[in-house]
Amino acid sequence: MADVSIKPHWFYILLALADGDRHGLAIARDVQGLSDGAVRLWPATLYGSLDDLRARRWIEELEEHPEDESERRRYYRLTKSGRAVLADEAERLGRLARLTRARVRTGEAR
Amino acid sequence: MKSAYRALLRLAPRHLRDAHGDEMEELFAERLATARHRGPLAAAGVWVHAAADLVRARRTGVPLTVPIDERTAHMTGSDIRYAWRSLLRQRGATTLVVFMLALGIAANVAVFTLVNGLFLRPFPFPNPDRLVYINTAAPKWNLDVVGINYPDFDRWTKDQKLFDALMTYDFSAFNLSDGTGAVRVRGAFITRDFTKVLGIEPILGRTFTAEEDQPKGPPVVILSAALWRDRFGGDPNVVGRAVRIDGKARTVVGVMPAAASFPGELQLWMPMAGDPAQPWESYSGDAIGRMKPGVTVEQAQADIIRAHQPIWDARDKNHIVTPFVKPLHDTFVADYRGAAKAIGGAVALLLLVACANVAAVMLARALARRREMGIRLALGSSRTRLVRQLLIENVMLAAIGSAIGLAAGRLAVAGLLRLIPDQFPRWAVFTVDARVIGFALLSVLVTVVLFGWAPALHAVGGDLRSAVTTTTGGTTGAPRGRRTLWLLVGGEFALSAVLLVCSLLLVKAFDRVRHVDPGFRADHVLLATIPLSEGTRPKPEQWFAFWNDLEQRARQIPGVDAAGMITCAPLDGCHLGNFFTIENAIPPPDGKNPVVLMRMASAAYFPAMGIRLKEGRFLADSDIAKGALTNDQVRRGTAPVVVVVNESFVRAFWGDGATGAGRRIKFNGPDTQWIPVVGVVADVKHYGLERPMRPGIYFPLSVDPRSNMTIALHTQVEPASVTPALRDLLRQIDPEIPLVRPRTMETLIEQSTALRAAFSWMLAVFAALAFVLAIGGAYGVATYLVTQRTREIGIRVALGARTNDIFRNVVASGLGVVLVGVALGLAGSVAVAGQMGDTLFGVSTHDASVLSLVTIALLLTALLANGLPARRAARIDPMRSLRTE
Repeated sequence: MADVSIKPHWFYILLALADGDRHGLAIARDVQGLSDGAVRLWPATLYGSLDDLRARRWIEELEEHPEDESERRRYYRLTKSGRAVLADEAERLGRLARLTRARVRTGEAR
Repeated sequence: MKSAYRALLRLAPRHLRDAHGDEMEELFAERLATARHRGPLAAAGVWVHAAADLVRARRTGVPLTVPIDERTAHMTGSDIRYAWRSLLRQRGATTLVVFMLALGIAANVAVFTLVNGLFLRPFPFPNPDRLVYINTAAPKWNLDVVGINYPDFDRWTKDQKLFDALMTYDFSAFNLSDGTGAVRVRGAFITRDFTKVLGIEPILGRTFTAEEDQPKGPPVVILSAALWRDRFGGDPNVVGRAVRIDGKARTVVGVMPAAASFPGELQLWMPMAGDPAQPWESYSGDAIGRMKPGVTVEQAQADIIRAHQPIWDARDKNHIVTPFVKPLHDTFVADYRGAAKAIGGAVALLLLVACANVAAVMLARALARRREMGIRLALGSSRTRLVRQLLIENVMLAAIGSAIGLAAGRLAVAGLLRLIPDQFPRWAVFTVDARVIGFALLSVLVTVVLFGWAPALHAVGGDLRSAVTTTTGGTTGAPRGRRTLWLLVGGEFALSAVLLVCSLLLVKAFDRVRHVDPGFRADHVLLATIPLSEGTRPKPEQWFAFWNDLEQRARQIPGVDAAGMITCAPLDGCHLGNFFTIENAIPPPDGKNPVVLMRMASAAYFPAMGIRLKEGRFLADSDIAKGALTNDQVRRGTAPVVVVVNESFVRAFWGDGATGAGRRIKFNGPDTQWIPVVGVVADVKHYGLERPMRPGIYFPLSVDPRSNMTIALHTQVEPASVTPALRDLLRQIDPEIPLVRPRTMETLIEQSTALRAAFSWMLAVFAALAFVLAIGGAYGVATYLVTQRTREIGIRVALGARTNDIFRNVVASGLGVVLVGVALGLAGSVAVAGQMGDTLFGVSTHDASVLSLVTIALLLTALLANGLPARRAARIDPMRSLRTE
């Protein structure tokens, strides 16, 4: 399935949530770290994506807040299907990475 | 900072803002805090990113619940089709809106075209911004513009350092004869550098040489392209040909292009041939300079003043003048500036009223479509898209309106120029150029913004549920929408009140100007100027004899009952100033000796013009000497003369209520003799009905005769009908002498007030249009609201409300807002009128009759505009209205 490829920042958001439940701000910080500072999620993009991902049921919002955390923030958790999408994407990226390495090598050999 | 972002958040789609607003702010704050460590540039970057992010979210961040077809970004094509259909569906409203917009834009385009031609277009010369006007002022004599003295000019030319070239010119008129008869042509004496200053080249031949531009230089002339074409058949060999000008042969050396005809319409040029060795011979003419690149007007003025310093030091202090330098363009448009500002303001107000009106119509439409919008929103249409659709409708309306407006504006300008062709300077060109187009586009943009906001805001801003549950035409939903409607109507009435008051004040001022006592009788008077060729009649005695003869014979023309001669007729734009020593004069209040307008008149001039005697007697035939007297004879008293002065003269020198007859005056200077004043006459409004009159003095015709005079005829018949007889008479005496500008006094007065008339009428037309628009707006809104309330009123009637109550209720709700609008408008108009100053010609800014007339007119029409729909409401049949569901 060629159109499985998901938006890069969706991938990073899912990736951040794969490590555990987080609120939006934490996701933004995580993503910046995961991408070595290359991906900075701006507010509307981040929260818009969170809504989109929730609509696709790849993530869900926690009913109750973890203790000793601010009431205001909304927490998100990766769903089963979200985890599957992430795994698929990792698989796809892995295939691409292997293919890339192979081509780069044959290019060198010429 | 946070609150600024909160405001920015409004850019984001609402669902995002509602769900995540606080957290978005938090994230933003964190980003900003980190960026601040890296300096202000990074912080600014955060703002840019955040804003772009929010805008992007608007386009892409639509939740998945929205149908796919609405989410695509490229919907404009279908939007335009949809908008077009929607406009066609409501043809009546569309036509109305387009008409109102076209009206507002047409008026604006017309006025802007005039402003553009007068103020914004450069002169038709290379680098026109480097051209300056130079003249001299004499504060000591109370004169703003004295004229250029040739020796002064010569000194400036030699000593200046910041100009490429200077020129001076003096307009004149000449008799040009070429064997078949004489014509009067307008021309100028000009210094040789004039082509260099203006940056133009002759199309044939050459310009004047230094040798030609000196006293007793070779007699040469340069022709204008028009004269060359009309009188010389465009002869390519015209250079070198001889022509007779004022009876003297001159050789044509060149032909000038049309652009050289500046600032008036000139047909030929002759060398100034001034003599620098003849000090203070005369002060006349104007000068123009071309500054070197990069020189400012202030520097140029300092340069001329520096060059003038030796003259200042050396000269008799009675002849002290101070040069001044002004941008050339300013000098020639100064007369129009005030009028242009006022008309520009008025026409902008008119556009505002039109926009308010269109906004009201569109809003009423939008409110009527609330249910449609609500349903579309409920079905998942995005607010963005709905707003965009409304915006596209607005832009289309504005585009159609402005296209029609642009065309109509052009026609209006053409009509106006035909109506008052003489009131605009010759060099001004009034055509549509890039600036006019740009202005039209800008007005469209402004118009869309002005009328588009209200409907767009209300159509989609309300909450969804109430919009859907509102049943069409049933209840009075959308109170916010109604408030805006009334706000718009109130605003229209306020603006109309401002326009009406100001224009009525101006009309009243115009009326006052027209009824100014000119000091003479305007009806049944014919004036004509007669120039004698100094070539065929070189001596003053010959001129004097000619005038006496002409006057005698003109009196014999059938239908003429009086004929008199004057050197300088009223409202003709001529002026000959002089200074006198006055016996027992009171000291002038500002220490400045006022300049006196000097005229030479025949005894019959006073009765011919109907000038009123105030004291003593007029000049009599016995006061006119048998032969011409030289200036010197009169000064030294070797030939006794008497004079008549005007009332201003008496007031200025002897004080209010003083007598004039029997007192004495004399010329300034040594060895001058006293001259008795024998009479005082009423002030003749010499400089225009609106201008104050100077002290004036009449000398007998025999004193220092002129070769150019004006004859005044009083007729028993229509004055213009005497013109052919006068022309015949002149031809009998000498066929080489032309009759110049025969004109009736009445047309002269009309022309002198034409600019004010045009100005007042334009404002009055704009005010009337705004008034009509405001009434239409009030009527439309009241009708719409009554329609919306049909059901409610039906219920009231069914419950027993009386017809009168319903009527009163509807009218009251509409009239209140009009009252407030009119009150604000009246207050505003008094403030605006305060800025009009002299234009009001003494009419009070809160003239009671004008204010009450405007108030009554606006309130009565508002009553009518609300009363008609109210009457309809009161007649509503409850059974039918309840069944409208």
